[in-house]
Amino acid sequence: MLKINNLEVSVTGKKILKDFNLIINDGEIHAIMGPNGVGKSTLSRVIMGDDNYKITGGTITFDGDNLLPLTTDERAKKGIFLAMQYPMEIDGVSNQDFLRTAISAKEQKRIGLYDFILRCEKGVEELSMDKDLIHRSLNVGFSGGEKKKNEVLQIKLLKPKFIILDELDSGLDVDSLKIASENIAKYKEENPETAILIITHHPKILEYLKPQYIHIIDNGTIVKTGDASLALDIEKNGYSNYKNGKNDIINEDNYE
Amino acid sequence: MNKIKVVNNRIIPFDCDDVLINESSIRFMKNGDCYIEYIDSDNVSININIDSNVCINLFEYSENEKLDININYNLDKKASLILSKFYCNGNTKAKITINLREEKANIKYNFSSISNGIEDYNVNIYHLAKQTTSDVFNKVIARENSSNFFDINSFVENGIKDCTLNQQTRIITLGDSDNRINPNMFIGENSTVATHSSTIGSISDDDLFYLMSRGIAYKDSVNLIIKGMILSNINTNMETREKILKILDGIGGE
Repeated sequence: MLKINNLEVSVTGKKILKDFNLIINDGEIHAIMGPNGVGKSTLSRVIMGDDNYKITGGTITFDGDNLLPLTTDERAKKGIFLAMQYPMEIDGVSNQDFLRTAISAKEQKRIGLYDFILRCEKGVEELSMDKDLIHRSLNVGFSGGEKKKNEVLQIKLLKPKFIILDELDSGLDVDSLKIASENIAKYKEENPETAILIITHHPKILEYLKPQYIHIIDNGTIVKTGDASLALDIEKNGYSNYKNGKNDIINEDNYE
Repeated sequence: MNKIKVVNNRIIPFDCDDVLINESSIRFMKNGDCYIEYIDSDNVSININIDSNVCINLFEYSENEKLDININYNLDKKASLILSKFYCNGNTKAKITINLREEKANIKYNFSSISNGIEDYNVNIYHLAKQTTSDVFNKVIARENSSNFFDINSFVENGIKDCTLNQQTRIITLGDSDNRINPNMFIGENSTVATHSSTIGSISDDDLFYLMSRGIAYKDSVNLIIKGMILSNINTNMETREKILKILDGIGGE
C-alpha cells in the first residue's frame, strides 16, 4: 500500500527527515513513536502533500503510484486520510457543508441531503457527539475532544483505505479516547484492508488499536522497529535507549 | 415582508404595511421584516427611522455598476435593528450614520461584500443615549485589483452610561488589492464596554490544506471558505441566498 524509500525532507533549509524508509501493507497497523520534534508530524504532512515541506530526496508510492506529483486533494481521493493533531477551525464554513462537500468530492457525485443526514446521524450517535456540532462552524468552539471525534466522524463518512492518526490521543480524555479508538477499531474490522499509521507519544491508544509494528523515530529517521513490547519498554524506560540508534529491521530487502 | 426598491435614486414601495415612506425617508412603526434593493442608483440619500420599541429585520441588497449612498439609521427608545447587507458593486461610496438616539436602542449591523473596484465606506455610530448597543460586522472578499477603505468610528460621550460597542472587520484578499481599515472608538465614558478586531489577509494556507486533505479541490475549498464567510454573516431569504450564491460561484479559486 504505502512505500517510503530513502525520503529526505527539509523545512526552511533544515533537514527534518533523512534516509527515511517505511513500508505499510494492506490491512497493517503501524505506530510511530518518538519524543517531540523528531519529525513524526512532518511525516504525516509530507504523505498528505503539504507544500510547506520540501522533499529533497526519495520516493513515496501508494498502491504502486508515485504520490509526490499529486496535490493534497488528489491524495485524499486515492483514499489517504490524515486525522490531524490540531484540526483547523474555519469560521463561517458549517461542518455540514464541509462534510457534504467532502463526501461529494470523494464519491464524485453530489450526495443527496437525506442520504447525508442518515449517514451523519449514525456516525454522530456512534461517537456520542452532540448533534448540534454538525450545524456549527467547522471545529469553531469545539472542545479538544469534540474536534478529535469530528475527525473520526470524517473517517467513518469518507471511508479511507489508509488512515494516519497524528496524535489522536492529544486533547482527548480517557472516555473520549476509548470511544474514538473503538470507532476506528470497528471501522478497521468492517474494512480489513484498511491500513493505519498511528503517530503518538503515549502507548494508551495502542491498547485499543493494537499495531503489529512499532517504530521509534529519532532525528528524522527510524532507529528501531519492534512489536507491541517496544511500546511497553518506551513507557517504562523512555526514549533515551533509542537515541541515535540505527534501524536494522526495516528496509526494502528484508521487510515482508 | 415589506419590500422596497430604490430605482434611479427614488424610493418605490412594494407590499408595504406599517411603513411610512416619503421622498427620502422610511419610517418603521411596527415590528417586521423589510427588504430593500438598490437598482440603477448612483446617488441615494435615505433616512431610516425606527420608532420606540419596534424591532426590524432589514436586508439591503445592491448589485450595481456604481453605488453612491448616504444613509442614516435613527433608532428611538428600545428600538432594535437587525441589519444584513450584501453589496457586489462595480464601485461603492457609502456614508453610513447610525444614531442610537434614545436609551436601550440597539443595532446589529452585518455587512458582506464582494468588492470589484473602489469601495469606500465611512461608518459613524453615535451612542447618544445610555444603555445603547452597536455590533458592527463587516466581511469583505477583495477581488484582484480592488480597493477597500473602511473608516469606522464609534462615539460615546462622557455621561452616556453603560453602552456596549463592538466592531469587527475582516477582508480576505484574492490576489493583489489595496485595503485599509481604520477602526476608531472615541469613548469619553468609563462605563463603556468596547471590543474591536480588524484583519486583512489572504485565505489561510492551513485552512486550505485541511479542506483539501478531505478530497476537496483547491477551487472548491476556496469557494467553500468564501461562501461560508459571506453567507454566515447575513440573514437572507432563499431567493436572495440563491442570487448571492450565483455571484459567489463565479469567484471561487481566483
